[in-house]
Amino acid sequence: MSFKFKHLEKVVGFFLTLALLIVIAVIVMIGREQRWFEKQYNYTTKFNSGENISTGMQVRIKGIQTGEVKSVYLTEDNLIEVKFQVFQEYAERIRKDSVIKKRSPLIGTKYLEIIPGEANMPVLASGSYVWSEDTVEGKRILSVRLREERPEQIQRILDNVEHMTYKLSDDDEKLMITLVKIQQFFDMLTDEEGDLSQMLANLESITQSIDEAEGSIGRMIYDDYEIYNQVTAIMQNLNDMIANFEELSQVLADSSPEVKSAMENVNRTMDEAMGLMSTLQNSVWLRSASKKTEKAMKASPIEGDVREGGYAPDLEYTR
Amino acid sequence: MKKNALTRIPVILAIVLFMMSCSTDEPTVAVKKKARSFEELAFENYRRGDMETSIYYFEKALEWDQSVNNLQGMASNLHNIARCYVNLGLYENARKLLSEAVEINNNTGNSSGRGDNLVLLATISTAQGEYAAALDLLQKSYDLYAEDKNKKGMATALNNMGSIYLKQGKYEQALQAIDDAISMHRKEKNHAGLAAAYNNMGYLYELTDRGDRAIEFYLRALEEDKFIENSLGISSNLHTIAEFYKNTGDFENALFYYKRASEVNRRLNLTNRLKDDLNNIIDILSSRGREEEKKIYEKALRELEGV
Repeated sequence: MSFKFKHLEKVVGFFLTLALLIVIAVIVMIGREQRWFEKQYNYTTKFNSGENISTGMQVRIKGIQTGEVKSVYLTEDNLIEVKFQVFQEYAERIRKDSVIKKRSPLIGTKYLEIIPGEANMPVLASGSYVWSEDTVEGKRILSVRLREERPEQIQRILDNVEHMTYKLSDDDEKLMITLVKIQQFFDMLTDEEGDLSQMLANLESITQSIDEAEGSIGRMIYDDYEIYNQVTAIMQNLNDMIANFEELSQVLADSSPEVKSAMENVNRTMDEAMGLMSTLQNSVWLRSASKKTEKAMKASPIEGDVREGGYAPDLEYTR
Repeated sequence: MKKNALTRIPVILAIVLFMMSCSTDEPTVAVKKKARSFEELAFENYRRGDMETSIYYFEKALEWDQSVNNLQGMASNLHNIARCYVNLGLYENARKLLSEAVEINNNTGNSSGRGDNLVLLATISTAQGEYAAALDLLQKSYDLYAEDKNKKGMATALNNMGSIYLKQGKYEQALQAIDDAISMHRKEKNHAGLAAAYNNMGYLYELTDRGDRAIEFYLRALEEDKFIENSLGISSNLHTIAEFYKNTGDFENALFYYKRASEVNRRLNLTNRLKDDLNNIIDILSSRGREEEKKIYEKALRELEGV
């Protein structure tokens, strides 16, 4: 007995097949974005403390996401064993002398940072152990690198402190104005009852929701890829600004002919910081942030302003 | 009929496989994001004066933009690589890339992008001593930026025109152009542009024997570059200020700024700039009879030259 499709069954079958295909295509596309089909390399490391480490946390190299934490658990010897994956394209950066560090910016997402190894060191195979900053070997590798990179910076900081002490003893009104502004700014930051403190706490909880995609707000923001990016971009902005204040000693300690303009510069930074804070306090900040993300996705040309004087052209960029 | 139903299975499978193959490309947004990350790395190296590494990362960004046919990104990266080549004095390489960028911008109708390319072509013409051609290109770029209401670009074109007028000794026109550029950059809060324009204004005052105004603008330029952490600009400013003090006979201040410039250049690994600074320091120390100190810098210079 032959089996026949009725016309209606054919139509229904067609649409069912089409829907099924669309579902498969969407799953594949999502999977591609989430790197489900990409080969991952597994590594293990150990930290003394599990504070600020969670499953799903990003693993980055020089700020670029290169993988994520897969599991965190307490070992029998009371250390925190962290298993993480690195995307295939970055796996060759994980070398014998690579070190992994915890990064907890004041504001923004916490993440693990891999300090890539030297090019002449062997690449670690999947499943290998990577030194963490808490291990003796990790500390040794980091201190070797610090010794190579930092001594001049330390000397400069000491020089700056010396200059600052001298300048503080000077009866300079502009310096005092700047210091008062800085004091006000940090008062805003540290005042537990203040709007700013509460706002920052709110931001922290929002980003946590975003990360974990929990709750309706979390899901809403997580679904909107661009808004999520912009939230983290604003956080990064705040981080940068706070980093600027850390460099304040250097600006203040500049030589005497430049003190006037340096003061103006610091004042401007303070004003911009205050401005950013008030922008964040505005409830429509998410909307404006979304527009900025679009802009951030656009490529930008290098500034083309020519400047006269300086070094002879043949000395300019050649090494 | 059963046979017909069975023949549908391979067709459906083929469609599924086809759709899967189409969907394995990374989403455009993710690719663009990756391109911008490489571009950011390129900018970081550019600001440090490492043109080779900068080109490497711009090329990476270009590859990603090409993979999703992001024309704006492609044109921008081609322009940026060309800029690096110009800085390295490889003008022909730059022209080749710029012609590609111009073509893309023409197709997309991106006036500002076309303006950027003309500005860079004008820089090449200036470097080759073709001032009239450069001014013509800058005027065209100014019009293109105006078409796009791109104030930042207009200011850049004006600043660069001012720079050519300076070379031609047309100080009145230079003053007007640079002053307009400063006003526009200020309104746009474009610190990099302001640094260049302040520097040019300082240079103009130096050429017209108004030293007090010159140093004021040079210091302003230094502050702007420090504000945006433009290491190359800082090095250049420190050197310019040192030269200014040296030319006015204030050797102690000149020494101070040459030393600072040398420190920046040493960190940036810009050997040629560093050698120039060390030679100047040695000259000044020699003229001041500070032999012991001079020996230290002579030793540093010898080490640098690998003697």
